[in-house]
Amino acid sequence: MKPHISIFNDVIGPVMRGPSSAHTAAGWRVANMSIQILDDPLKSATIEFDRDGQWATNYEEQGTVLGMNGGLLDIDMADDQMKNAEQTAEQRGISIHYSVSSFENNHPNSMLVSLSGQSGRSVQLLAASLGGGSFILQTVDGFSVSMNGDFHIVLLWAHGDMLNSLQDLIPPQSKLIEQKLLDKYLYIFESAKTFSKTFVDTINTLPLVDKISVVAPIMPIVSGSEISLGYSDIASLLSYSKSNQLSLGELGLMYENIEVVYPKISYY
Amino acid sequence: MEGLIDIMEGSIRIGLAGTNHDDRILHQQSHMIGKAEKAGKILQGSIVNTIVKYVVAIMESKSALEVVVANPTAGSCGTVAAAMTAVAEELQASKEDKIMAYYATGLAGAYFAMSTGFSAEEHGCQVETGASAGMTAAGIVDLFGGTAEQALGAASIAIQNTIGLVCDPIADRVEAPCLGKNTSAAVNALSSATMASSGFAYLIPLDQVLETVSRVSAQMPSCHKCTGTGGLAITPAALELKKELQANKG
Repeated sequence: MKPHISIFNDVIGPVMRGPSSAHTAAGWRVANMSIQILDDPLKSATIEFDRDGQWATNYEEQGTVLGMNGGLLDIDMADDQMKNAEQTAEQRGISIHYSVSSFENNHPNSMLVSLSGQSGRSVQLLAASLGGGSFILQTVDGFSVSMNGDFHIVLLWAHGDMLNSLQDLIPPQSKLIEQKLLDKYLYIFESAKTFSKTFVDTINTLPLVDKISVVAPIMPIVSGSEISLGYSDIASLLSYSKSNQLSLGELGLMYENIEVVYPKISYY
Repeated sequence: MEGLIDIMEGSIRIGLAGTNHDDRILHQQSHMIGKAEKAGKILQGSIVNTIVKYVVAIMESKSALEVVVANPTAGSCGTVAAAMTAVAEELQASKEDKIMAYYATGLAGAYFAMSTGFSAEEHGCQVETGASAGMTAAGIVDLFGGTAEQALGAASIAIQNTIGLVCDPIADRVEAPCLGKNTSAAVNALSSATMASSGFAYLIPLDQVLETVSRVSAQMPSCHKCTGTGGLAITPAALELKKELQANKG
């Protein structure tokens, strides 16, 4: 389960085109987050679905291809151009390939995304669609991660332990996570606020850094600034509503009363 | 929220104005309700007609690749907006009341998101049109001016009616039986809201109903969870439709 549920991130929305939110919208989001992590103009993409997963039989018909093409090409999910994503990819000389294969995963809607960029960068990600357009990114280049697209993220790949030097640089309201894989390291900064250019430039000059990607949130509501509510489960919500004379709608508004910062659209 | 409501109501208008898209099973049907009503073939002035018409209009917008709000999913995007719009129109609800009622649907939906999520591959249609029915029931109670307990009680009743619902889309398209299930979810929501607002007992609290959804889906075979390998999807008629669609696409 995701750590924080938002009405606009997880229930009402996304605003989209296509047959299925799990296939089309989550596919778009995974793809769009992936090109941000690649941080290099896209040259080619391969997307694999697990032979034993639920998507092997229907990823084309249910619109995964439609959504992922749009996300890889950075066409807004509600844009009319979504319909022509395949032709757009051809025009831009980007090759996108879909296939069914076998890989390790723990969710029936898993996808393995391998991207390479025009200046030689590459990245491989494992993601799962959680339904209704929500998704989780589970690995980046084999490093275990847990990202839902609801934070500002800076990823730093390193060929040595940088924890001590990075810890002193963590911006306010941010969190640093370290993942190790053999002798390689991935550092993940996650924040409710945009990372400053100064911060990104500073860590980029540190020794041991291989590369850095700055990833903007893909969900309408950025996490990390939730207010604490006067209830948790249904029983306490009901007694809270009774003692404060609140309708379910008023409770819902209170629940979601956090800043909306998604840059591209203003539906919310 | 206001912007999202505008888009949802826009999907109804776009659907009713007529959509044209070749690569789908169901072509435009939303205009047929008005026609049938005029011809005296169905009930006159019934809210059920309006709800059905609106559900179909939204689902036609979706299958024509027009903009929709996945609420909570694209496959179940017809339920909430259709029933909420029809009921709000009949009540002549203010914009503010409507926005507040949509927050009620959202909070009811958040309990799904916190427990089961909305993946039909994991839980079948229980968490798509089942969830949309529960959300809508809560929203309608809020439009009626009911309490939070009645709203969540209505959600509980609506979801109790959809326990075990399989996901078996015909020809791997999210069109049928999705359309009928959205329609019945919307009407289920209205009847559940009517029961709860009148004071009927819901007996099982929403969190325990949601635990039941999970427990039941754990016992459902994968062929009934959106894989196109069971249920209606493997009937001769469905296989025939799939062949036709593939042939049309070339």
